[in-house]
Amino acid sequence: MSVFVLRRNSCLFFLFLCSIVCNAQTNITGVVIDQNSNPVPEASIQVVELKKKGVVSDFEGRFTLEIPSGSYTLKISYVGFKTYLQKVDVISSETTSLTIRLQEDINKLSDVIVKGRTKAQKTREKAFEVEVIETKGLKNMSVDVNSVLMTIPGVNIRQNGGLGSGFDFSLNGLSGKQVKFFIDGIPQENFGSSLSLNNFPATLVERAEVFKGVVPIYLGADALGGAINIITNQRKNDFLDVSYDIGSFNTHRATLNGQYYSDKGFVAKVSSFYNYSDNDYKIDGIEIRDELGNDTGTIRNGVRRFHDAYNSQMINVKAGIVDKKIADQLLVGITASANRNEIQHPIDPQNPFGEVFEENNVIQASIIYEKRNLLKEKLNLKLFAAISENNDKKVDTSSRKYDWFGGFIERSDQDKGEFEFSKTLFEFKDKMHLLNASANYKIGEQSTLNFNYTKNYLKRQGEDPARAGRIAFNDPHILDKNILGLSYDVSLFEDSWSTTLFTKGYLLNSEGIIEDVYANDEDRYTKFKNNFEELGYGVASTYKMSDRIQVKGSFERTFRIPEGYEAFGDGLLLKTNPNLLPEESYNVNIGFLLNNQWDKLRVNFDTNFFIRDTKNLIVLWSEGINSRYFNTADASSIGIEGEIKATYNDNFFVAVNATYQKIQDDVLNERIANIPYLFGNLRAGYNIPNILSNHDKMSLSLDSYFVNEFPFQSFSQGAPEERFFIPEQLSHNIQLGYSFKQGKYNISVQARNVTDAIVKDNLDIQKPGRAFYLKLRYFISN
Amino acid sequence: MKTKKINWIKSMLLLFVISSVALSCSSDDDTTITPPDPEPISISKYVVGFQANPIGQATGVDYVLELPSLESLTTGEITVEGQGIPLKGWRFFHSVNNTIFSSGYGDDDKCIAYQLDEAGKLKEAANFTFQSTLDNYAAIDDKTLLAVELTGGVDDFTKNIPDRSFYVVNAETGLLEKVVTHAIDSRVGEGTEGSPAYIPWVTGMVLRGGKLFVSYHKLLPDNSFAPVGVDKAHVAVFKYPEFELESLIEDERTSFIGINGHSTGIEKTENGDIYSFSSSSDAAAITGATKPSGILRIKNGTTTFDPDYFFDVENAPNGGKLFWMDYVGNGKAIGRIVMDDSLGTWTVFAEQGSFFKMVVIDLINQTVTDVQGIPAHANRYTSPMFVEDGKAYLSSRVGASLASGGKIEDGETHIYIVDPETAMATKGAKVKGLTLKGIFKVSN
Repeated sequence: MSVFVLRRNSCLFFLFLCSIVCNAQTNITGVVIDQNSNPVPEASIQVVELKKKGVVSDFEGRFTLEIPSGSYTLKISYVGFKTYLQKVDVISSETTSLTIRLQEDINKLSDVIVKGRTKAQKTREKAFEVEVIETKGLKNMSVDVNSVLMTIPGVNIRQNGGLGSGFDFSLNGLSGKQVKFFIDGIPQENFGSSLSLNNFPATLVERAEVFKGVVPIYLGADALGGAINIITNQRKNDFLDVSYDIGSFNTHRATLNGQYYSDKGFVAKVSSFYNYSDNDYKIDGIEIRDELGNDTGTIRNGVRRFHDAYNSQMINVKAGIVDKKIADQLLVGITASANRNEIQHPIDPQNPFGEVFEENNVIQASIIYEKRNLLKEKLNLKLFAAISENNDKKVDTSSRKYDWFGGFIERSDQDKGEFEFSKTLFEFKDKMHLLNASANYKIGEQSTLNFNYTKNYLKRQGEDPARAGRIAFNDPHILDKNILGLSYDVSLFEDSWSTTLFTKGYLLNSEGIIEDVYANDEDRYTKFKNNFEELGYGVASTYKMSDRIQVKGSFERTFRIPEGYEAFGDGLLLKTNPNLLPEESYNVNIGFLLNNQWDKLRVNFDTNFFIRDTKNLIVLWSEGINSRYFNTADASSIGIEGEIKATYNDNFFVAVNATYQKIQDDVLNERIANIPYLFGNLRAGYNIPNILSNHDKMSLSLDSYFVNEFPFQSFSQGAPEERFFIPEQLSHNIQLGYSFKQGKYNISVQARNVTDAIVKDNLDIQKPGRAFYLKLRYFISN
Repeated sequence: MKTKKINWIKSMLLLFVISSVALSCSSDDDTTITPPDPEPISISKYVVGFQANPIGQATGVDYVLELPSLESLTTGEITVEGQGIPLKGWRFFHSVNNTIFSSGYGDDDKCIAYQLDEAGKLKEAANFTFQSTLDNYAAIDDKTLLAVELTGGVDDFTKNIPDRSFYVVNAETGLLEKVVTHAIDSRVGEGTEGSPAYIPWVTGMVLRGGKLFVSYHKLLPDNSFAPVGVDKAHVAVFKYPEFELESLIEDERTSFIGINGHSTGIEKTENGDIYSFSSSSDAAAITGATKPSGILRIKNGTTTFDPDYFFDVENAPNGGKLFWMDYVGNGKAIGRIVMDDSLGTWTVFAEQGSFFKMVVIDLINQTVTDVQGIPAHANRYTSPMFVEDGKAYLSSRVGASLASGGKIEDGETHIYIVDPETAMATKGAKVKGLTLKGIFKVSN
């Protein structure tokens, strides 16, 4: 049914795409390069005479401007380079071609934080241990953000199946709620699965920053193990970007992204996606049982998944004013997202479900205000505020017990669900307020003071029309997280040494009502209140020994404050522990960056050594039918990760990275299992420009993922031949893309898991076999 | 490191002793290890259900571990370091004759049967899956494991309560033979506060002379596990194997029989009398009971509670509220008595805490004797207790509860060997894990 709807939608989508006709004006094309003739991407090219005319150079440094004929001055600027002015005469019906060579500005090279312009390369050179992935080269590919983040050393994502399936993101050994996600600096921690990394298409993303262990204050959250910040469109020009892709397992994905700047300073932006997949790939190793459930010893391979469809959609619309006296930016926005995810099986794939599904929807209204260069160009202010509602629903109302071959039996107990002991329509509703305010003040030429405040307020209430009696979160829980951050950034010795000192205050108030079903009326309800006040601090420092060698070191004492349910329980079988402490960690990174250039060959080497020493880990303990959280575990991880990347002539590149980590339970002195400890990936690509016409490009790329075999339960316990292992995972994807008319039209084909390897994770959950995708993308900008 | 070496030396010594015994015996009888042996000798082994310490943020893994001799239970350390078969999810362990069953709770819906193979190695013999969770078990005879599925609520308290499912398992093959559904107690309340609906929750099953006795709790059918009408003891009597309900018997002298998750709510003695225990403990989830914790009897040949027998354990000298009781023999049982009943519902089910004292209960003379040699302890014992030569072998963990600020690394689990005649416990092997969920002896 939903497939049908989708197909109709996609037709409309194409109609919409085709209906966009642009009035061609005179073209100026050009390329921005540095002294070494390397392209400068993301350089800003502005037409001084036409206030709202401007573009940003692309990954190859190229740009195109469409302006009426006349004489103009182009202003070309980029962080770390001297601003360049170029006079140009535009004659009607002729294309003007320019080559602009920017001169490096040594004084400005480390001036990133002051400028607040966290461009990819500059971010990477920050004192923090941060990885930046630019999705420019990936925008034409059929990938979500997770597949992009997978390529980062230290990151491992364990996904439970196809598009939209649940995943666990782990960063240097810490995972789950210990790692926080942000979109454009705004924490996403309370949002449900419809705004998540497993469905966010890379096409909508400019770049992703991954902060390992030590997190700058502008990402305000209790991130114990690091943070991921997804940065969406930061362009300052008009554009429209539409894409559609189709692939194996009836997978369809579409994106629409665009914005319009009027001459009068009005701006409108839209960003949206739609994803659908049946995820009906084949899996192996299904045990054949008789009618009663006895194992017959027969195993069947190539069994098709039949209840795993997924769809999700999101739209974000913003409108407002820019470059006015009252504000550099004042935007109001609305985001709406929803998804529906069928669940094929629990963690053990042997027992399929046929009807259970989950739904999530989020609606958010927000306002963004930004004012720069106040108080003699020394103070910048930014404010974000939002109210949102998040609904999460689990629908389990079937008493059928399905098998893998299309059959089912009706359970004798018609009140049982497939997944739960009893049928459920459990839903929780979250009402949230989010506030993020940041300010930075330039003290002198060398130093800046930054302040950030994030408030994250959540009220959660549960309901379940399919159940009589008590349900979880029947009485609302309130969680009020306030994170304050203060940092001092200083650059010395001609900016070769830069340091950030920071401190964070974590303030949390939570409230809940606990009902004791056994108690008398007057004792039945107890109101619980919890307050946490913790002080975190850290330092990040980097020293550039030369243009080729950079050393980094960073340290943070950080916290993860217990979630409401961890401290208060769910009002049902999860009990309260008001004495629960925050998880606490001391995180250290030491990194080296080396780069060298021999003629056309450029080599970058980046390595990081990390230590995480975590105390008071929150562990769930059973008490008969009940359970309760206690701070019983301490853990430490040490590891090393490294990446080497070679680029030849800017056309060919190959990159390899690997991570090794050892994670230890410090209470029992036992190595912690079920976390990959050796993994890596390889990427290689080749770009051939100007094949059939000028300004076209063919690209071919390969990426390979490797995770070494690792034990499921223990490294040392149990007879070695009886232990459960997650087998080695190795898969390869290849892509072929063709772009023409300067990237206006893009077409790409991708083959994932080309060798059709059997890849399993989370013990027995098999990932999709070989799959093919075709993507079409249309991109136009002024 | 050091202990590893000692273990190694120990096992080498043991190997030496066993082989020298075998060699010295070889001239006397036929138990040689030379090939032309016509009949393979029977090998016996001790097997434990071992719950390891939780590593990191994971839950403790359950292992089934074979041990060579009784000495492994009485001295040294029991560890799964490099040995044992790891299992998935939290599990129950039960045995019938020479077959050990382990079935998953929540995370895993498989019941696996283990037997010794011809070489005397513990091997999986068969497995079957169940629909939801098998919540109670009984070896009703030498060949049959009876397990019952209980979990589940209703969406409407005025509706009929669905039947419970009894799984009849052939213990010789390890295979499920049939599933029988029965309401057990179909006197559904009206769904009102005065007459609430309930589900029967089985706490013990005994087969005697073609009759199956099933003790049960009555729980509110909303997954809250809240008791309904707690101040009565209930037993259903079935004709077996027909599963025809003969009668529902109840007694108002004490509360619900048995404890959720324990399978020893009712037990049969040598002369065919059946005894039941009632806890009345708040901490053990028999919430709101006003009747004393005590023991009832169903005399051999009868299907009613013996009106002349009630042992008020709660008010007896050394008495208190029972958390658990299991019959040893000769009219005596071992019990665990809740020391502080104010800790909160279900709290004493935790794996660590000074929750219980151990007692010997004389069912005939109606006395309670404190067992010497074992401190206040915790253990949620899921399988019936192991008895050899009249002595009981029990795993118990000593250490302060997590809720009272105790640390899991400060707790210690040992096997205690209790002599019911002297009421003395001796400390046996140290368990390098959370607990033993079962101790068994099997032969091939």
